[in-house]
Parts: sequence; structure tokens; C-alpha cells
Amino acid sequence: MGGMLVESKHEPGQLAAWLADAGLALRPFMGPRSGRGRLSVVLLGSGNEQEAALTIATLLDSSFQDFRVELPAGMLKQGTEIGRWLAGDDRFSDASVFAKHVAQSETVLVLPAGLLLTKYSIEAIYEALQQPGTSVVRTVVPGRPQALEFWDAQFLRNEGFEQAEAAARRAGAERWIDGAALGLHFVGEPAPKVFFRRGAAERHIVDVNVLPGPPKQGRGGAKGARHYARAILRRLKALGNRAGGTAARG
Amino acid sequence: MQAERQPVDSVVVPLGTIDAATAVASLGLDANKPGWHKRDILDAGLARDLSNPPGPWHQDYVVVVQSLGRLRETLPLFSAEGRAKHLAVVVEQSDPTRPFHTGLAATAAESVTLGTLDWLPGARVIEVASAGWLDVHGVLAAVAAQGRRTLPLGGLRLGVAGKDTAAWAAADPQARWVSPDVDMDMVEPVDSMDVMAGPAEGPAEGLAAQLAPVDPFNSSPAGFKTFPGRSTASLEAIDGGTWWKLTGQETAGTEPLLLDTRTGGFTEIHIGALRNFWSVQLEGLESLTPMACARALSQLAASGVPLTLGAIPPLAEGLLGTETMAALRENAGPTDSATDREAASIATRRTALRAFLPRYRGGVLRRAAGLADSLDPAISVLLASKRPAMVPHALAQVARQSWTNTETVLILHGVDELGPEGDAAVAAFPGLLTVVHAPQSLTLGGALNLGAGQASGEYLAKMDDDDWYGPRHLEDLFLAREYSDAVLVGSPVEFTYLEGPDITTRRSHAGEQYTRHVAGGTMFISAHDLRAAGGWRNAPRAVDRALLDAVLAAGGTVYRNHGQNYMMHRRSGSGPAHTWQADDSVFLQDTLEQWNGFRPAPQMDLPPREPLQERRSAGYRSWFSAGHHAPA
Repeated sequence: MGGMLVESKHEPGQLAAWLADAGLALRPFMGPRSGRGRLSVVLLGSGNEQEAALTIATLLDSSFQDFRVELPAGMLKQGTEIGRWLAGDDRFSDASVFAKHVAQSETVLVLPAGLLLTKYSIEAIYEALQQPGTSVVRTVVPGRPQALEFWDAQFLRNEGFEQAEAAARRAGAERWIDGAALGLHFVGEPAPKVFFRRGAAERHIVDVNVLPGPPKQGRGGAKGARHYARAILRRLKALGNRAGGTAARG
Repeated sequence: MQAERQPVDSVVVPLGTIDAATAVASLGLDANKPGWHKRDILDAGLARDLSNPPGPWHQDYVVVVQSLGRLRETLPLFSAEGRAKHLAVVVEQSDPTRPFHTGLAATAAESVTLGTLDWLPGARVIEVASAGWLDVHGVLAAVAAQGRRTLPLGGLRLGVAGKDTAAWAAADPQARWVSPDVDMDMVEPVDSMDVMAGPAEGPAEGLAAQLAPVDPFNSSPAGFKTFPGRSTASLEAIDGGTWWKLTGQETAGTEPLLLDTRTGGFTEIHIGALRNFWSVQLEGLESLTPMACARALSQLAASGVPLTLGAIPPLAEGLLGTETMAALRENAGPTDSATDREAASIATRRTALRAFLPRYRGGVLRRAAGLADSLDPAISVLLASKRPAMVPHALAQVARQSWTNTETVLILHGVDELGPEGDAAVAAFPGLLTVVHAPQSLTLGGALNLGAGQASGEYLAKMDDDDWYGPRHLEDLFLAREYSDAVLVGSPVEFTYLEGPDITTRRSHAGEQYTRHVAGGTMFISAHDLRAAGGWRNAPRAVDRALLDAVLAAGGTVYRNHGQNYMMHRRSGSGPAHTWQADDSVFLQDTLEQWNGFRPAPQMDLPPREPLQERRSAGYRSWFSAGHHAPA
């Protein structure tokens, strides 16, 4: 049962002041879902359903959920594991509606199957796109040649898909970053070291910090990376408990 | 039998901001006991007791200085101060970016302690006590040297009559105070000086020979910040340049910083304070004497502090010389680009260092002493290659070097024939070239040692076959060794061209600092030091790291100069010829700047190449460029 009807007595913009007063500063990319998908994702198939499923899982685990995803053709067919799994989520489609999605979205993510995101990777790459003069962020991730691309949808629409890369290069609007800075890694590769900062007022700050790189293979490889990440989380939790605040979620 | 000496008094020399009594008390000494004297070592009329050498004999001798640079400036003035039982040096401020050395090795009868002052953060106190007698000047010289092993004047023995000429010594421990009245011809050769310091006489030297050298401990590129935290500062000369007022834009409303230059020049602490600013606007230069103005500008130029110049007395321009003045003028003024700002600083400081480093300025003194000038030493370039196709490129990088006294040792590792292009490059090489064939069975370290054995230069510079080098690469490495006194110098891998995505990156591997790592293709070391470190390790890879470790393990220092002379070439699909295997993503970590296409730093003196889609490897092209509108 819903509550009583509220008749607003407030001026437009009052909401922002409420949030600011309460210290609930939403990032520009966060907010109510648009229904049309503010992020348009295209998942590039590798022919490996398991790898695609893992990538989709990290997408579903992301802190940002206002997206629409174009999957490789046939992936949502009845009888596939992914088809059964995503059957109830209309954000996923395998029809050729990508151009329509882009027309309605603010940003576009080209995501190779097998590439694993962290909970805050999308937020972090969105922040990277906000750098002045940046229209596309590209990443290099050790292990495979495929690169993640994160585009300003308006730029794509203005320049046209095929000319967008050349236009971005001419304008100096393309920025390459190390995928480890976003917590990205491919299936089977060691996870990079990322950590989440805590703010002075016990707030969980979701900045993904750039660290020197993935852990050395000689010091534990993927197992060592997991161990390291857990240690960081334990430490954050301990700090949260000590300060009487909320422990960081990771 | 000689009677046992008895100390006659205790002395404090206040050259800092702490008053003498406070300094003495802070050492746990009784400043009120009889026998304490305050000595003004800068006083031209200071009485020196030369009646009973090597005395006079003191119980305590306390020196208070603002900084080590100040101690170095005044060092020769302490050479007639005799002996003491207990000696203390209070250094009020030290540069936190440099290691602090006591420089003293205690004998069984001595104790050396390094302490701090609770009430003065950053202060250091070195105390030496002896059952015998301590040579005051010897102890102060060891502290002032800060681990440096060379004589700035290259063995010349310089006489200094007072504080006005002490700067000529550039902290050389062999420089001595000499009474202006002494007849040097009457002095025994073992105690005599080669030449008295002072402005050169006679028209042959000209105006440009009148200015003293800069002490690289105080004034060098060390500590340069490519990305300083603050914007513009004003540096105003007041009281004839005995003080300078530093006012930063961001510190409006706060007290300006007063820099005490009463003893003559800027110290490492002063230069360190200027490092935090994007540029420094000089004011009040016209109120200075030409000599004071030129002295200040020579120090600032050698430090590479980005300057905006005001009016300069014409005579000061003559004292600085046309080249330094031109460099100051050409490179002064604001720029928004960090890379351009650094390039301008590099050009200025290089010119000033070539003019005012003790090695070069000492030429004036050597000529006055009737001695030959020291020449630029020979540098042997070691160039090892497994790829004949890269040899023309590699030789071209050496051929464009400004340092002319070079020889090149080309080590062909497992390569029997160079082929027509390689042979032509060897034939056309304009300098001395020795080709060494190292068998495939040798390790990389073995091949480099084979080449080093053929080298005759005083210094060895290792260069890689596929990277780019600026024309002043060798010159800047040599200068860096001069001002850092490090055993091994090199450059950072700051600029990298990534062939796959066709981009250039600049990583945050800051230069101009003492460090543990330099790029292997930029290592510069004396032949003597290389032999002392055991040469290159007999290993197939990681030989550069091994040499760095050996130098550091032997107590040597490693210094990294700026990164604008070296550009790494990261090929797509790098093969086994590379000794260092790394993913392209490594070169995207900690990037400070990034450009499309091939964009060498200004000091590389190479034309940039605009980005082209065709130049980008297929694996790095956008999914959209391949014509995809929908998932396949």
C-alpha cells in the first residue's frame, strides 16, 4: 500500500539542497533510473558463454545499473545458460537495437566478454571521461589485445560511428589509461590492486585509485591478489569498526 | 719532550639565526663559564692567531649555520681556526630531499653523534669529541662535503683572503684562508697555495671571468619540480641583495619569506623554497651592484628556476656572459605547458652550468696559476645490439650528440653480418667507432663487458639500439655527474612512444633526484667505478638492475637527471631482443600527460608526427572504426 499523496510545496532545485544538507552528495552519473538506459553497453562476444556470463555478472554487480546491454547475437536464445539467466531482465537484448540505444544514452561502453569489472569500475571510468576535452576513454588490460572503450554518446552521434575514432584523435579527445586503474582484468589473469578510500567523516568514497599495477606473479599471482584485496577490505572494516562508523563495502 | 697542550678557550661562531648563547646552552654546555668567545668569521678584520700552528687550541668549538650550503660557502675561512677537543655544528635547516651525512669516521679515541634540537624542527646537530685534538677545518670540511668525494677545483690549491672571495673556493676542502699580507714566495711549498682567489686581472680574461663559480650543492637542477604546487612568486632584492623577500601569490595575506643572503649567495634551502613555484618574478635587480646581481642570476640560472626578469644592470649582463644572458632571456617568461617550462629550464641551467660549475669556472683560476685548462673528458658509448636493422638508427642517435669527445663501441651480439644498410651506417659514422663481435654464447652482461674492455673513455655511457636520444643527452649526463657527484647517473623513462596505439605518454617518474633506479639505456658511469662495481653481471638479462644494486651496495649514490633527452620506443609485438619485457599497460600507469602520435619532448629536437589511423595497430583500433554498428 502506498503512502498518502504528497503535494510539493517546494521550489524546483530544493531536492539538491536537501541532499547537500544531509551530506548525500550524488555523483553526476548517479540518480534515478531513466528507463531508457543512460549507459549503452555492447558486449563483444568471444564465443565463450562462460566468459560472457562472468562479464555480465560483474556488470550486474556494478554500483551503476542504469544501462541497456546489447549481447552477441543468439546469446539470449532459449536454451542457453545466459538466456535462462537473463530472461526476466529487459535491459538485455540481442536484437540489433544498439544504434537506437546510443541515440538515447549519455555514454557508450564497448565491453569485451571475459573482461571483469569491479563494483565501481563504471563510476571510475565515467569520472575519467569527465576530464576536460575527453570524449573517449580507452583502456589496455594485460593478457588480451581487446581494449575497453567508453564514449561520450553525443560525440559518437555527432561524428558518426565509423569516423568517431579518427575525429577523437584529431581533436586530442582520446585518453588511454591502464585498465588496472579501474580494477579491470581478464578471466584467468590476476586481479589488479585497487582499494577504496574512506573519507574523514566515515563516508565510503568510491574513487578507484591508480596504483602501480598488478601484483607480481612471483608473489602469489592471482591468489596473492585476492589475498591482498581481502586484506585491504579487512583493514577498512577494522577502521570502520574502530571509528564506530559503517564499514566499507567492497 | 713536547709539553701537553692545554685548551685556552671555547668558541662559538654564529652564522645562523639562533643566538650564540642559546646554541651553546642547547648543546648542554655552560655559556656563562669563563673562556667563551664569540667569533665573527665573516669579519674582514678578525684576528687570527698563527703564532703556534696548528693551534690555537680550544676546548669547545661550536658553529651555528642556517644550512649546509652556508657552511660550504664559508668553509675556507675556518682553515686557520686551529684545534679543539669538542666540536659541534648546529645546522638549523636541512633539505629533506637529500640524505644527511656526518661525513666523519671516528677513531677509537673519538665519538661522533648526530642529533636534533627538540625546539627547532628540521635542525641537525653533529658533535665530535676527542681525547686528542680535532682539526676544526678538517671536521667542518667533512661535514660540508656531505659524502662528496671530489675536489671541486680539481686539486688546485686556492688562497682565500676573506668572505668576499670565499665563493671562488666552491667548498673545496683544499682552499685556505691566507692573510693578504703574506708573501707566497716565502711559504714552504707544502703549505703554499697555487693562486689567490679573486677577480681575474688583465684584459685577456675579460668581464665574464670576474664572477665566482656556483657551488652545485647550493645551485643545481637537483630538486627541480616539473609540476610544482604553486603558481607565481615574487622575489625581491632588498638591502642591496643581503636579503630577498619571497612572496607567493597563494600566500597573499601571509608573511613573505625572508631569505638571508648576507654571506653572499642563495643556499640549497633558498633554492628549495623557490622550487614550489611555477615561475619566479625577479624584482629590484636594478638596485643591486652588478656583481651581486650577476651572482644571484648565475645561481638561479644554474638551478633552472623558471624566471621572469626585470631590469638588469648592464654590467651584470657582461659579468654573466653573452651565452648565459641569452639563455636567461630566451627562456624567461610564462608558459602554460609543463613540458615547455621544463625544457626552458633545462636549456638555461645547462648553459649556466657549463659557464659556472667549478670545473669550468676553475679555468680562470688555473690560467691565473699558469696551469693548463682541464678538458672535457672522453666518453665511450656502449651500444649493444642483436638487431642489424636497428644499427643505423642507433648510430644516428650517437652521431647527433653535442659532446664531441666520444668514441662508440658497437657490440654486435650474435650478429655476424650487418647487411648493406648497417654496413653503410658504419662507414658513414662521423666519429670514432669500434665494432666488437660478441658471440651468441655470451650473456648480455658478458657482451657489455667485452665492449667495455675495448673502451678507452674516462666515462662509459650505455645506449639502447631502438630508443631516441636528444642531442644533449651525453652532455647533460656528464653535467649531472658533476653536480650530483653520484657514482652512476642516468635518466628516467618518462616519455614513451607506444607504437601499438600510436600515442606518446609521459609518466610521473620525476627526475633530478637521488634515486635507486635509472633507465638501463641511459646509464653513465666512470670506467673506474664500473670496474670497482665488478662490471656488468654475467647474466642474460637484468644486468642494469644488477649494476645499480652493486653501486648502491658499495655505498655509491645513483642520480637521475631529467627525462627529456630519452624517449623509449615501445614496439607493438616486441620480440626477444628486448631485455625488459613489459605490457603496454605498464606505460599507461601513472601517466601525467598523453599525446596522440609521436610527440618527442622539446629537448629531443625531433619533429613530431601527427596521429594517423593507419599507424595504429589493428588490435588498438576502435570497434566502431571497423564498421560495427551492432554486435556480431
